[in-house]
Amino acid sequence: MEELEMENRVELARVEKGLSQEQLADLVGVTRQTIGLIEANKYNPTLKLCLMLARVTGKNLDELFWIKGER
Amino acid sequence: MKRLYVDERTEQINGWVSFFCLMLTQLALAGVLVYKRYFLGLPEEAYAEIIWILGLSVGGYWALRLYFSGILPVIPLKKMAIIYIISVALIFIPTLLIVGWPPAERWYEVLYPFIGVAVILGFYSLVAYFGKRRLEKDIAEG
Repeated sequence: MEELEMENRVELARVEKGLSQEQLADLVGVTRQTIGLIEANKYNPTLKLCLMLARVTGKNLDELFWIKGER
Repeated sequence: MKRLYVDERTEQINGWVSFFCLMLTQLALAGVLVYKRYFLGLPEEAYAEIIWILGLSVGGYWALRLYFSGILPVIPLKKMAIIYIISVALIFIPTLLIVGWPPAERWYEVLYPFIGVAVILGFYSLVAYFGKRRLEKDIAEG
């Protein structure tokens, strides 16, 4: 099965909200490093964390995450 | 001082590291076993505890992993009986042809393939049955 790569705009959504990586990390209950890796597309968060990030940044899930090449 | 989070990523890393270290430990134990048995030529009493530890570690690891994943198919009794007969025959007949019958005072060695295969298949059936039951219960509970 083909492995799908994910892309996201977490960094943009975070900056729009005026949050630092550390602040966003605290709001969703993860480490700053995890936020950094998500923004760099080097870590795929679980659905639960995706939903929390969407909630905190005020975005829909599909605005925040998508499959590479589909946008 | 800022508290350290154990988030989903660090939990994932913990899982990988634990798996890696477990494999390393099992390989090291297997290495010690081979060294003692074949290089030093020591009797079984000298490494019996390592066999037990390694057996429990490998067996326990795979049993728990397969139990919690619940992916093993539950084999019906009739099919299991066929697998048992074929497996015993595949071990028993070549062993008999190569090694021959054991001496009369060690007659019980003839039973090893029968008991060994029964234990392995019985263990498999238990893990498959309870693993599937647990998963189906979780699904039914929603």
